[in-house]
Amino acid sequence: MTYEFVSFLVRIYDIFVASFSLGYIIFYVFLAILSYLAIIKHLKEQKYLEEEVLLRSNHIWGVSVVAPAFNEGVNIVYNVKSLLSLTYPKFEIIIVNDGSTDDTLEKLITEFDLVKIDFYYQEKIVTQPVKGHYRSKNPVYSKLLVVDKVNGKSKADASNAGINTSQYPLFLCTDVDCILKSDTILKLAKPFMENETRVIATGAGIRISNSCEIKEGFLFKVHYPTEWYPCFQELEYVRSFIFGRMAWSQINGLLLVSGGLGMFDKDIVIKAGGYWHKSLGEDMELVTRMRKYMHDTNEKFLIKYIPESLCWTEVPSTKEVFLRQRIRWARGLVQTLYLHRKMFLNPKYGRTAFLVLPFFFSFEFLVPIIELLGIITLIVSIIFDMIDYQYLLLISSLVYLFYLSITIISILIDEILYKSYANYKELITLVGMAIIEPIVYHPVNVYASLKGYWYFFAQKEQKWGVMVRKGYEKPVKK
Amino acid sequence: MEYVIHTIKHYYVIPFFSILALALVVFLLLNRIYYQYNLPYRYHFTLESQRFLTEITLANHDKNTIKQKIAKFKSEIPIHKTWCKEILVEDLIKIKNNLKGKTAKNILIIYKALDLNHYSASLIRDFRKHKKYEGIRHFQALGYKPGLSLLQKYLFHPNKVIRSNVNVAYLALSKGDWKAVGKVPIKRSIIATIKVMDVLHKEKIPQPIHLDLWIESKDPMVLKLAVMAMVFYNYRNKSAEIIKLLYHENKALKIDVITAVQHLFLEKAEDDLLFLFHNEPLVIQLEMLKALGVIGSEKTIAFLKIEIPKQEIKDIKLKMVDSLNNLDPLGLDLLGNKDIDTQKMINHTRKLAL
Repeated sequence: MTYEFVSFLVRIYDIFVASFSLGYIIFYVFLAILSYLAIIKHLKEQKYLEEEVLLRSNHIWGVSVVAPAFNEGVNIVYNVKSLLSLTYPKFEIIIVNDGSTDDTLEKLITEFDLVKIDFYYQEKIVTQPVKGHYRSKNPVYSKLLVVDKVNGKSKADASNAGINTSQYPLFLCTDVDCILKSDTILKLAKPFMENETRVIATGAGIRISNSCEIKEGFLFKVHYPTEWYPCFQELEYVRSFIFGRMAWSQINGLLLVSGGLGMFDKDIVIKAGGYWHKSLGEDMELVTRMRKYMHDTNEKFLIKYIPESLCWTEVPSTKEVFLRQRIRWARGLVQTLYLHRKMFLNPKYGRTAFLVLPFFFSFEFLVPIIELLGIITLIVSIIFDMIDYQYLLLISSLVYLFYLSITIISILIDEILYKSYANYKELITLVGMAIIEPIVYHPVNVYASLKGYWYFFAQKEQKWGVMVRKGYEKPVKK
Repeated sequence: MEYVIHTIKHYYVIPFFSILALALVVFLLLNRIYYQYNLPYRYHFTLESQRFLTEITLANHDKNTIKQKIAKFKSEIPIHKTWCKEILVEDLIKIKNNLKGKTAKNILIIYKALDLNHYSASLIRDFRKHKKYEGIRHFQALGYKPGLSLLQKYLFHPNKVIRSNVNVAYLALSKGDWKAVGKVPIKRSIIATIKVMDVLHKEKIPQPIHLDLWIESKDPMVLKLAVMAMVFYNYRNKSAEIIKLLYHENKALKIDVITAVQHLFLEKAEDDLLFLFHNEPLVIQLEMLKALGVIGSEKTIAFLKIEIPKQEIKDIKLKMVDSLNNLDPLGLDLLGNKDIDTQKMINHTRKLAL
């Protein structure tokens, strides 16, 4: 009886996995086609307007760059200088010192000749108290504005204070340690101006700076990471930014614009309530809420992605920090899906309800759980000697080869368009990483996701943790 | 389960994906190796092309010598290759942007002698949109006036983007022939506005003769263009017509009109702005206050002194304070003495720019 029941369950699981895998494959083929179309469209329409024309114009929209900083004393001066060197006719840099306990603020005051000013601060989004605003006496740094506030234990709170302070209709949210390409503002602002339908957010590719040659906050040469965890994350970023997000952009289904690099329509962000300080995936949660707001007000909107790498950031290089980050992301995902559960399959929310959210639920949230169930099923099948090795081998091979093809296509698109890597040896390493990723890296990710889900459902206390920066004082030598 | 196994086996799914993955890897690597192999050659060619073009542009050769030198250069380069043509055109555009006067004219001689004008024309005739954009850009950037006849064919093209680019290029090359005014798709997108204004600035185009008629058009696109042009040429003869457009229902046009009122210093618009103020949405109210801060008289001062103490929307109040600060700073101080919030706004306005 027990044997029959277990056999029945295993069979049900097998059928489910086969159907799920088929759905997964069909959906990803669909995304691959969309991604290809989106990239081609982007490349073709680039010539609609020369970017130099925009740079010469007085009619261009102003952009506020908001960069929260918490205990960034090691790099803050270089980072701010790097941000100030961005090329755009009308912008300001807002550094939000989120109650740093180190010398971040002192360094800023000394280096940039800052003085406290009377700033009429409007708390359009509620934040922890703001202690003061600082501006430079030196006209060279006239674009810089520093906000000093009480620590809000989240990047969201600091970003909101920056948004409240900003004077322009668009704001670019980034991390202070991110290195941006000089034309980042222009590239991200352009879609807001060239579309007749209201664009509410734009994003672009992010790359890993761990092994890049950086001097005083400026990127000199891009290199493929040398450490294990950054290596795999590089692969993940290529696949996610070049492939996945472009596809979603093509059908206006983007649910995530990275916290490291995203430009937003300030008016809509404020109306939607700004970043939610309790969220562990505040970037995804904000975009979901903005989509909801636009649907609720019956206003047409677009969220666009640009298939270019405009930002380089340092990623976790140790297992501990990596796990902490991924646990937080997983928790953020389930938190956002749970928070906006009423949007699911609600006709009012159009494709967000019928396509985007179901995708994230099925192919992002459920996958780690299905994989865990798979391992359990496998163990049970071995114990009861009911394993069908031929079936196991065929399905595993199919999923593996499909994944590999998709990853290589992403690398190929990136290579044809941007030649991001220094030489073919780095490409071979990347392909090698793609081959071993499912066996070496993927299980760690699944573990982190499951732990994140567990923490969410067990309502464990939320902790951000500290990402230790290496600093850019000395350039990485190759 | 058996069915799944059968399907995977029967349709050779595994071999298909294996070959696909392998082929992609091979293609990826070969593509890179080929690129790296060609890189020194292309790099060398780019340097050589830049050196030659700069030298021949700046040297005081007569037309025949230029042609002889170009013919020699042409025989040494792979001019039949598209990448080669692209490099040459881009180099010429770069040099043109950095040069003015007589030397810049050499650019066109080189452009024609290298047959690159035909290359650009072939791009415009191409059925693909992005190729058309590219060819149009070449003509415009290099100031190739013989290209006008070809561009003329596309002035009324059904595709909005092509039409916009062709019209702007036509305007630039003809130095002010607004043949298809009204066909430039200036709607909510600000890009077309930026393009037109850029051409007006860059090419120093004379004031259009039909400007007076444009302002009477019923087409909001033409009206928008008319208002923009009037601001650019500082043309105040039709101020009554501009002020009348403050009552137009098109929101984007209204914002442009308010900006025009401010830049052309149309003091007569004050009464209309004050009359309309309370019925407008926030965005327009802010623009109106900006304009009133520039053109306002005693009427505006009185209006602001009444409105500031009772205004509850902070963004509007701040803008009101800013406007009154421009018109009557002493009067504003008196308001600040009575209300802390207003005083904070005054400090913000006056001390923000150190």
